[in-house]
Amino acid sequence: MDIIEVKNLGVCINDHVILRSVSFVVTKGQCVGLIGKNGAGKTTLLRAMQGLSPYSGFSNMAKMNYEDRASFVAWVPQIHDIVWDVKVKKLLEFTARKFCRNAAHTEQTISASLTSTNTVQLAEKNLSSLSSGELALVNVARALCQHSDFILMDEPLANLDPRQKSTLILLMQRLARQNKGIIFTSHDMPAVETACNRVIALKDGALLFDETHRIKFTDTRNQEIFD
Amino acid sequence: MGRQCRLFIAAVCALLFIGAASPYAHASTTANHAATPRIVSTNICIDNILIHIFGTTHLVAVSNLVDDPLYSQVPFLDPAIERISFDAENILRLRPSLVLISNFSNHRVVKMLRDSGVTMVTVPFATKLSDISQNIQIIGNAVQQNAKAKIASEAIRQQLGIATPKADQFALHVTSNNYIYGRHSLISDAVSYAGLAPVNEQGFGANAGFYNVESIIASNPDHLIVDDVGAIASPNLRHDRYHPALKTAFPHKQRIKIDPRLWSCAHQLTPQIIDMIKQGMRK
Amino acid sequence: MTIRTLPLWLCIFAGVALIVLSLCLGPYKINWSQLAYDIAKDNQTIETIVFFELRIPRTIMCILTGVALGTGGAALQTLLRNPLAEPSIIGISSSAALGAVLVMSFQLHLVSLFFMPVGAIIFSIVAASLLVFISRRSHDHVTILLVGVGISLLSGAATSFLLSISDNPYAVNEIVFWMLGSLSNVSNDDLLLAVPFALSGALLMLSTAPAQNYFVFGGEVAASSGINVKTLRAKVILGASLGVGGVTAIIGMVGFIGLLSPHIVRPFVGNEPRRTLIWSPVVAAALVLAADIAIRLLPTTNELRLGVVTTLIGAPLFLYVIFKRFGH
Repeated sequence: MDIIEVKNLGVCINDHVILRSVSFVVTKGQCVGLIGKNGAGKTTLLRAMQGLSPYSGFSNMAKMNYEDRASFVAWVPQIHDIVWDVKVKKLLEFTARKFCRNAAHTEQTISASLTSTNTVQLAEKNLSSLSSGELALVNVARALCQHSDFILMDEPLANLDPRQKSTLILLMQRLARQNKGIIFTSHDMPAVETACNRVIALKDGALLFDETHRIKFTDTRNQEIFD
Repeated sequence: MGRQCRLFIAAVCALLFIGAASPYAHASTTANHAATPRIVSTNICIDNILIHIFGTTHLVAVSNLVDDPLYSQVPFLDPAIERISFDAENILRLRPSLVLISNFSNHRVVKMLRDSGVTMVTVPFATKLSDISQNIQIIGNAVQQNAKAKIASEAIRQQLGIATPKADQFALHVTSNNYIYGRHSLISDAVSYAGLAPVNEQGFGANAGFYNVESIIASNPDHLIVDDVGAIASPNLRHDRYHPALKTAFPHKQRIKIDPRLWSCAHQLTPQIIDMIKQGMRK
Repeated sequence: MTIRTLPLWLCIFAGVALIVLSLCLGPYKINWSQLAYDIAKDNQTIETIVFFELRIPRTIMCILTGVALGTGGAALQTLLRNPLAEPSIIGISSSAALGAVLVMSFQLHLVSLFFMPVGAIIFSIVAASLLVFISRRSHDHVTILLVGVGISLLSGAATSFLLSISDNPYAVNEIVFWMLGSLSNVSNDDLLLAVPFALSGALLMLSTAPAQNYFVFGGEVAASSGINVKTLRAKVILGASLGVGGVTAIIGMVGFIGLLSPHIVRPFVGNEPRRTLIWSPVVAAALVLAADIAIRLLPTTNELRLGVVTTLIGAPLFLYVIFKRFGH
């Protein structure tokens, strides 16, 4: 399976339509920015695509069994609180051990994940001692340990300082070049401009536009998306 | 007026109508039945003595436990006699001329009945065998059958007779759920009359309560008195819940079985326990 | 905070010591040489009766109670993402007790004692399912606890209702004392009833151990990591209900063991959910043994009830944990 395919995906909760008939295909090597104003349905779309919430229509990911889907896509949601205060390295080990061939591969994977997210210095720290930006990066590092073809991220740039942002943007670009597929939601237009080679915009639960070239967010464009 | 408002008023009216139409809502306007006695008995122990010795004449209601084979000596009582719980309004509804209560009856209900002018006679819960004659007298006087009461209580006194000289043996009674009734109970009194000690030298068994099986075994009674639950006619129910360790530690020969209905309430048959214990000892 | 792991030999030694103490302590002073002789000669004496029919079942029941409640507490805490979850706080124990009281009220336990654990388990399953269903819709930790309290209150009210309509004061007395929770007078027959349910429940929950670590960031991340979350939820619900129901039916309500044991274990295993689940039943068994030994050592006429002791110790600790976690 080399693509993420979504056809006429709709989500309706308590007679309230949140997503209406969204369709697109994402291939490996694409770094897709999913944008739209608050309540447009971005997070709902990402969750529905994976079958994490009820939906109508078709999503190839949602049809997969748990194991196959784990190798296909990794999910990086926003983490609001820490209940089990484990060490960062331990957290990565849990995931890496499952998706790596042997102990050496596991060590290598963890090390690479920490390096690429610039979180090596956090390896021995407990999750509760991390700032929200550091936690977000650790969450990305965890997803990297899954060795999946695609990574879906919900507001990964939200709590990051400028240095962390640039680390993540560079990482996303590198992953796209390594033929992984990325879909992430964001409100940070300059970051989306820099990182993405494709942008999907949602408005009121429907697809506004879907463009596969570097785009510039002019005032007119922004008005179109966010009003 | 909105629809919801109208529905609400309709519901209230319906409730009022139902309440008014209820048979319980009307105070009786018929003539006072003071001429005919109406006796209400509110405790199974009183029921047992009253019905057995004095009969069911003028008996209007008895306690709920009268149909329970575990406690009742009169399980086939006329269904026309009401079974009630100790509830003021329920009792007042019956317009009793006499209510027989125990000293453990709910004091709030007792006060309400007293304030309503109901005649009540207290029959104390018997903790000694000698209380039985006393209670028979009390009940007999209350229902105005003094002659019968005198005969019956005299018979009890004779049955009790002279207390047997004390042997140095310890006999302990335990229910199947490990409850011991303690020193001040009918069964312990019966044990004393039979010439045995209901409490050992260390005072084990003096207090009522749920006991540990191991401590029962450790107290080393010479005789273990158990409830003869086979006497209770309910074939589908397993009343014998004695711990296997008790049954093994005190094999059949060392156990004295007594029908619990003989002493769970004090009545005219209770003194038979003394002979049953003596017979059990001789085994 | 991570404490250096205790050496394994120390843990084994402590466990064996507790078991030995439990077998040795009691109102009856066992003559050990006499017992050894009787066992060798296959004689049945008071020594052998007390040892094999009272001490051993009681000790095994302590361990079984700890295993069932400890596993239940750890598994529920991870599933509900709430460190304050445990069978008695979130209403599973009181629902199990309601089931058992219902059976006793209709005298079904006199038809067959088997009805007790079955009744308890059915009601625990209902309570546990309700909780998990609600936890999926709400991410707020406090909501789950409040729902659990609500279930607890409802079960308690239903139990009180059953007691209040009972004609028989002796039955009511017995039920009230039973509900306080006691390991006293456990027999081998009781074990035969409790062991299959409690052990299968514990094993079912332990089977989810490998998947537990993926829940650190919640159920969605676990699902994304390849865990069949629906099956895991079902296993934990069923397992906790079997374990708690099976044990509660025999010994009544014993609370806070499932809360305390994971909290004790976590600092030693770096808060790792999988290892917490594996070690929690061990620590819980030790806690129950220790509490029961303490009860046997206290010089009271009527033995203290285990449920009362664990609540008296556990409730202040529960308040302390709340204070530390939510107080600032």
